[in-house]
Order: sequence, then structure tokens, then C-alpha cells
Amino acid sequence: MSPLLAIAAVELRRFLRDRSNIFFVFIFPLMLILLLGSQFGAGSGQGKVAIAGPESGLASALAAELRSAGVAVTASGADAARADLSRGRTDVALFLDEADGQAYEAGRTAELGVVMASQSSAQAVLQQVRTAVQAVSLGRGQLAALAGAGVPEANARQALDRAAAQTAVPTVEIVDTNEVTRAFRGLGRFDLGAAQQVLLFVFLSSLTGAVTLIQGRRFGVVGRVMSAPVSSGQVVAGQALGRFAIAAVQGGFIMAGTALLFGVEWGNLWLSALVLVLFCAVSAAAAMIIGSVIDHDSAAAGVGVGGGLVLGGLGGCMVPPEFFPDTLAAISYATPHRWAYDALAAIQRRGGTLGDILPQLGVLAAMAAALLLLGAWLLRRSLNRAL
Amino acid sequence: MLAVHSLTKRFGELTAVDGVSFHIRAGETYGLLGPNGAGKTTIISMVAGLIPANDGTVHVAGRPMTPAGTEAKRTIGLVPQELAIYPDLTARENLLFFGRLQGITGKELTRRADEVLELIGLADRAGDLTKKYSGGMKRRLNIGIGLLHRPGLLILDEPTVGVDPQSRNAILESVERLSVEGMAVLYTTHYMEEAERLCDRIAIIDEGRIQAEGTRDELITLTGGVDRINLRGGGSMARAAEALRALPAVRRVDSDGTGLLLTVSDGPTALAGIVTGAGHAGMSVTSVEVVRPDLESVFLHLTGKALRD
Amino acid sequence: MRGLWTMVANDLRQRIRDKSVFIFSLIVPLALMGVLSLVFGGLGGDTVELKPATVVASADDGDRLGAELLGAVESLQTMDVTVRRVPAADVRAETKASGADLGIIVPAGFTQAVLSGQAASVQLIQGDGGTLEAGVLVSVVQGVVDQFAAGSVTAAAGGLSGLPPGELGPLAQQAAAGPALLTLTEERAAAEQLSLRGTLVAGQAGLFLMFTVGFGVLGLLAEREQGTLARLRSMPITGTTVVTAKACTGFILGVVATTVLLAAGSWFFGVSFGSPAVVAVLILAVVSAATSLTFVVARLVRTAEQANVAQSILAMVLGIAGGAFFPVQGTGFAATLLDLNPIGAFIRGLGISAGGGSLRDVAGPVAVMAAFAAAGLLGSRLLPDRGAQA
Repeated sequence: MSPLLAIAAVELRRFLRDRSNIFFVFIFPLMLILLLGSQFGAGSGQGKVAIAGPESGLASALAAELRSAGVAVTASGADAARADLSRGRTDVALFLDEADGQAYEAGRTAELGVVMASQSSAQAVLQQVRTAVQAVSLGRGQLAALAGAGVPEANARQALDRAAAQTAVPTVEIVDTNEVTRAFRGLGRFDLGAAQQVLLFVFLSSLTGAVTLIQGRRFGVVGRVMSAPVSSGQVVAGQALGRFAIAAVQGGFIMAGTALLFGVEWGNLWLSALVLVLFCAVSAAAAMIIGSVIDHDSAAAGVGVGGGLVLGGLGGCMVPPEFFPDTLAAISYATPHRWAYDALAAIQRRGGTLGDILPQLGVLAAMAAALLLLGAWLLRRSLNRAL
Repeated sequence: MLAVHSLTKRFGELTAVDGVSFHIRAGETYGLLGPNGAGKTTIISMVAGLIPANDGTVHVAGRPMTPAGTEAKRTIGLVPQELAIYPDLTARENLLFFGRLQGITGKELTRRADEVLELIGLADRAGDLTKKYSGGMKRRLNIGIGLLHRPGLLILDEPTVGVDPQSRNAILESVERLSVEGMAVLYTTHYMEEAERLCDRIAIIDEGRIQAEGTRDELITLTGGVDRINLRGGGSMARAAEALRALPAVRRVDSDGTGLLLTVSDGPTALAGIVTGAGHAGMSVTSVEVVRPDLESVFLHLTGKALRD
Repeated sequence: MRGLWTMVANDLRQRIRDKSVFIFSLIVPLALMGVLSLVFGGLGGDTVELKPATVVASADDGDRLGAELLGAVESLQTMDVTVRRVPAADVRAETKASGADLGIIVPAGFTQAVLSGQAASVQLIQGDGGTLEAGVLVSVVQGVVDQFAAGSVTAAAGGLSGLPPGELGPLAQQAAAGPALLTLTEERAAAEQLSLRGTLVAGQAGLFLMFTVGFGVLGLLAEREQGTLARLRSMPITGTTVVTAKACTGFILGVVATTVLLAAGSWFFGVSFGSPAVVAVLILAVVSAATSLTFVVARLVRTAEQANVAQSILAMVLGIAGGAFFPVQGTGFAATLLDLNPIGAFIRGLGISAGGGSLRDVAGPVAVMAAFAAAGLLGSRLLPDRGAQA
């Protein structure tokens, strides 16, 4: 085995042997993807309404109307509903009492208490509640109008049912949704989270892994390696290759794990893997820079964690960049995450081809090359410093 | 100053220290000599109250020493085998911190810290973080911290391991000086030269037991007081061996082809007769070496093992 | 006692000298607060008030119901809406180009179609902002069209019931626009939750607190590795003093870091956490809980490195489950489990105090944190010791 491969293999083996890595590198990302999928994947942005009070025709009519408008409805007690409201676990609560139910059955007027939670999404849900209450109210109003014209109630009901079946009524049709909705069309429950987290964690683990470079210098291993008949160029290349192998192992694991466990669709696997490989190269190079510039391992760990999370956040690994305001969206293109995210999005959601993602691949390759050159130069300098 | 009685420590099945008893008087330097793994550090750990004993007692200046108790600990100064200093503090800060824990305060504390810094030769580097020190400087500070509160009993656990010869000599000199000032010293080592040079009395430890105890000379008489004489040269060795065996002082003669190895009672006195005898018998002697018994041979004699691996 | 404070002072001095406590306890969390608030900023503001909205619409001149529909949209009480009329063909382009919230195309002959029971569809075009206001407007349009539909169904039903055709128009009118049977009286819930930015600040403070307190008790492992623990044991101080000193160090660092983070966070991001006294109680409670957890970790691990990893795992799991990055919802058992999380309780407590809650109001979250602290201390007594104190 050439010295270069030997150095890289030792780095990878050290990494895999350190059991403390297992949780953060392999288990934690999958846990987070599972959690994100279960929290946001399905029904995220769905309004939540609690209906508090005894069971009644009014309650079930409102619940049915709200559900048909795409709102999640829960029935609960008044205290539980207030607690849920105050903690933001529900957007709006409707408070019904027995008198309301009776009034509704009898066609009398009733005033319903409605309480809106303090989060901003509650306004839209409140409007949906208004519309639903109005719809239920209209049904009663129709009966009352017919009764006022002298039609007995039983007949009126029948006539309304028949009329509803026969009459064409005006409808509302959303013919063009907004870009954000379109952007996420065709995504599975875990797909988005998996793409974001694989980028976040590959980069984050690479940066924190830079600590081993520092330890290598301090423990004198580097000195010993350099005293062997290998050139410093080989040492640097071996380190870079080792960093890259570690990133690739983690990224491959997350891709395979999410595909098998959560059924994540990675689109064309060859293309997704290509994106990942280039992103790993960028991560490895960034790790070499941190490992060369900083001499204190716990400081490097702090910089690694902080830098990894901050860049990941800016690059769209926490909140999808499609939601970013314009300035932030522009800034996000300074991170490798954003380019990789866009490439994965093209492959996952739109069946993008190599031609479609060439610009992103080009930028990632350029970033990797630039950082590798810088990292190699800094690492070589730091090796000399270690001797 | 220190009285150790029937001290025993077991780790599971292994009995690391087995019924060890000894005492040290004020001003006396007492050595525990034995190979690595003999149980020296375990004894020290119990004497310093770091770990509890399974059996037996330790009294320092008449007060019982236990891990939980604090009274007896005021009287000891421990110098652990491994470095025990804070790398992110300066030498002076290290001294002041441990001094305060010993209950020394104010001007007294600063004065003693200055004294110790002078003694260990770190006065001009006292304000530097210790992580920037050389290995020898760290070792000297490690010892200095144990001296700061002028303990009645100073416990040194292999203080010279991994120390350059110059620092090592400095360490040994300061121990000698402290002993002269009346401090009792408990000193463990696996270097017999150190034990011979420093210690008034020595206990030879192996497998958790004291195999023998006494002054250097007392221990050496245990070997039977024989010397070895090594004759190198050419000529008629067989005849010479024959002739030398007849001498009264010579107990035994072995030949290894290039010379003769003699076991002799009182070598220096018998030397002249032996060299003359060998010459008369036709051996041309080119070199003579008289090897007197040392603690190494005592250890070999007692345990059948070499002191160092 | 003097030994205790000597040790605490010594520990603090070393931690301050060793920059990592600043990086982990202050710089990283502040940087994350900044970035998270930037990236989450696009998800909606902190206020529940609706912003003024623009609607691009087209309807035939003289179309009565069309005018009624747009009028209803324009005269909403809950928000300020401007309706700009353009020709039907331009609505889509204009909506996208002008950044309007919603485009509405009322089809030609809408009124006629509704009154004669023919199908008619009001077309909506969402603006690219994907705003909350657009969602409200969609719902409003839906409500008005529902009314029209109810009217035409009622008219048809009247016809089927044999009512004279002359009565059907007023009947439809009455059904659609008559006095509503069900009305809503609205109130605002007692706000016991933090704004988005408030949650980020509180969450990051809570998350990184778990790292900060680790500099305390887990320092015992570092002491052992640098050999100083043996020397401390040979000193005339009890073992309890040593452990207590470490706990105090972690506690002090935790209180200082959390206070600084909350203060800096509310300064930078313009959030208020309410009464300083209540916030102080919450900080003390959460730091106690976090510190007691370090005792448990110190029992379970053998080396300083293992301790760091275990502490990081606990920090991330408790932090994320507590809602440090995004609110986590659960039902049934999961919800109870989430409620018992000290970081979750801390964020919740700050929510109550931000909403003007008093000490009495935060009793629940404080009790959770206190119970957690007690359980941690007790657990560390019962667990076999594998590391630091052996």
C-alpha cells in the first residue's frame, strides 16, 4: 500500500474505532430525520382547532366543516383547550356549551366563544373557523328561510338535499399556487429532512473531526510519520484523503440508512452520490483548514460545532432556503450546502439530469479545489510547525 | 512521625498489599524499594489517605489517616508519581491554590510560595503557565507543591522517573537537605542507587510484602557478605583456577574461557593474594574487578528476581 | 468552607483562562441565535396582527355578486385590503409581477350563473410570497362564495317545494345574507408562549447550558487525568468538598452564561422575557436541573472524552426535544415525556413569564425542573460509580 493510502486508512480506522463517534455520526442524524419527518413531513402548516364542550349536533357539524377545509380538529375539555392554546399546541379553540347546541337544533341564534392562540399562524386558522361557522350557520339559515316562507321543516330539509344535488353552485378554485408550494411538490415525508441533514452532518462531523489533526500534531504522531521516508506532500494528501473517506462513509451511511429505513427517494442514485462526493471533498478540505489553523483541540471543537451549525443553517439545512428572504437567499450561495441542496432538490423533486445540475457541481468542485489547495498549504505549514 | 501497622489492600482476588508494617521517625528518610507493580504506590496511596485500607492502620504524628479524615492530612505532603499540577495556571498560582487548601493564608502564604519557588529554582519563571514548562521544571514544581506547607512527613512516589540527570541530582539534593532539617521522608523508587544514597532505612518490597527491612549495611549482610572478583587475562587458566581454589578466602571459582570468576569472603583483603597466586600458576592477568554486594544483589538474593526488568 | 471557595475560585480562573468555555457557552449559542433567527425569519413574523394586503382582481362591470364578493374582501375588519381591478387576462401576470397576495378572477356572467343555478368558478391565484394574509383571503372568498351557493340552493329548494317563483329571489337573499344564527365572540388566549425569536433565544440558552455545566462536575475527570485529583485527596479537605466545589463551578458558570445569553438575546433580537425576578428563578431552576444531570454523567463515564460525548448527546437530545430549534409536539405519553424535559420546562416557564406571568404562574415548570434536579442527585447516589469519584 502506498504511504498515501496507508495514512488515509489509518485516519478512517481511528475514526471508526472511536466509539464516541458512533452516536453523533451515525445514530443522531437518523434520529433527527425521523423526528423532523414526524413533526413537519405530513400536515405541517395544517391549522389546529380544538372544540371544547359537550357532544352536540352543532359540534359535529362544525368539526365536519372544518375537516373538509383541511383543518385538524380535536375534541377536548375547556381547561385542556385553554392549556393547549397557551402553549401553542392548538391555533384556535371553540367553546360550546349545552345551550349553544340546543339553540342550534332549535334554529335560534347562539353566540360561540372562540379563542385564538398567540402565534401568528392562528389568524389564518381563525378565518377558517369563521368560514366554517358561517357555513354551518348558512345551513340553518336556509331552513329558517324556507320555514319562514311556509315550508314545513321536514319538507324543507328534503327539498334542500335535492336542490343541493341538482343545482350547480358557484365554487372557488385555486388555479395557481405559489412558488414555495410548487417547490416542495412531489417530496415524501422524510425526503426534505434527509437531504438537509445529510449535508448538515457530513460537514459538521468533518469540522469537528479536525480535532484529530491537532491531536496528531500534539501527540507527536505527525513527527514520526514525517520521519518515515514519505514526503510532506504525501502526508498532506493522505490526511485529505482520510478526511474525505470519513465524510463519504458518513454521507453514504445516511443516504443508505434513510432510503432503507424511511423510504427516502434520492432520485437518480448516481447523480445524488456524485453531489455527495463533491460535497464531502469540500467538507474534508474545510476540516483541514480548521485543523491546521487552530492549535487547541477544545477551541477547534467549538469552532467546528459552531461553524458547522451556522453554515448549515445559512445554507438551508435547518429551514428550506425557499423560505429565505432575498438577501439571506443570496448569502446562502456562499455556502457549499446551498449548492448541494439545490442539486439534490433538482434530482429528488424534478428528476434532474446531469446537465441540470452541472452548474451546482461546477461550483462545488471549484470550492473543493480552492479549499483543498488552501488547506494543503496551511497543513503543510502546520506540519513544519509541529516538528 | 509515621506508624503503619498490618496494612492490607485487596483489589478483588488480588492482594496488592499484604500486612505491611513499618514506622518512620522525624528526620529519617525511609525507602520503599521494589520493582514496578510491587505494591509501592498502593502503600503510598493508603498512607496519604487517597484510598481506604482493607485492614490495618496508618497514623501520622499520632493521628489516624483515613480518606475521609482531614486532620492527619495537614501533616503530610504528597508528591504523586504522575505530574499533579494545573497546566492552565502559573507555578505561583499552583502553589498558592494548594497552599490555601492546606489552610495557609495571607502574607505567610506568599512568603512560603516565594521560598519554595527559590528552592526549586523556578523563581524567575513563576509567572508562566506551567504548560509552557519543560518536563524537568514541571517535575520540580510537582515536588515544590508538596513542600509548601512544611509537612512533618513528605511522601515522594518515584519522583525521579523520566527526569534528566541534572534535575534528578537537584531533586536528590533537596531531599537530603530536607531530611537534615528534620522532615520525615517516605521515598519509593525502583532505582537502588537512589535508595542507597538517600535512605536511612530501606524496606525491600515484592508482591505486596516487605521482604526485608533495615539500613543498607544490614540488608547487605543478608546476602552472606561475599564479594565477587573478576580476573581477565590469558595463559594457563585451568592451573590458576586449581591453585586459587586452595586459598582459604576463596569459596568458589568458575571459568568462562576468557577469565575467572571468584566468590570470595572479604574481597579487598584477599585481592593481593589472589592476583599473586594466579600469576604463579601461569595466568597472565590483564584486569581485575572487585564487585561488592549492593541492594540489587540483596533483592536478587531475597526474591530470585532482578530489580529491573 | 474556605477550601470550597478556594477550589471554586481556582476552577473559575482556569475556565476563564481556557477559552473553550467562552466559545461553547457564549459565542456559539449567540451565533446560532443569530443564524436561526435569520433563517426562521422567513417563516412569519412574531406578531399575530395581519399585515395590509393587496389583491389583484377582475370582475365584469355591473356584475352584482362579483362586486359584492370583492366588496366583502375589501371591507374585511381583520385586515386592511386594497383591491386593484385589472382585466381578467392580466390578473395572473399582474399578481406575480406586483407581489400581490392574491389574484381573484370572477368569471364573466357570474351573477347570472349563480342566480340561474349554473356552474361558475371563482379562480384564485396565490402570490409568490405565500403569505399568511393570502391564506386568510382565500378563506374569506370561500366564505362569501359559500353564501352565494347557499342562496341558490335555497332558491332551488323553494322551487322544489312549490313556492311561487316571485318569492324565490328574496328567499335566496334571506338565506344568503340574513342575520347569521351563529356568531363568534373572539378573545385572545393568555399568551404563555414565547415568540419565535424568544423561543430561539431561550432554546439556545437552554441547550448550551447543558454544555456549560459540563465544565463543572465533569472537570473531576480532567483533574484525574492531569493527576491533580490525587493531590487534592491528600489535602485536608473532604471528598464531598471537592465534588461540591465542582458542582458550584458548573452552577456559577451556568447561571452566568444563561443570564448573559438571555440578556444578550433579548437585546439583539428585541424579545422580552418578563419580570426579571421570575426569569431569575427560572434560570436558577434550570441550572440546578442541568447541574444535577452532570452528577449522573460523572458516574457513568470513565474518561473526560466519554464525558464530553455523553454530555453532548444529552444536550442535543434534551435540547431538541425541549424545542430549542423548533417546537416539538407530542400526544399522550410522548407529550408527558416532553413536559418533563427541563429545557422544555425552562422555555415554557419563560413563555409564561414573558406573557406577564408571576412566580405563582411558573410554579409548574419550576416544579418540573426541581424534580429533575432532585431525581438527578438521587440517581447519582444510587448508580454504581464507574469514573470520576472512584
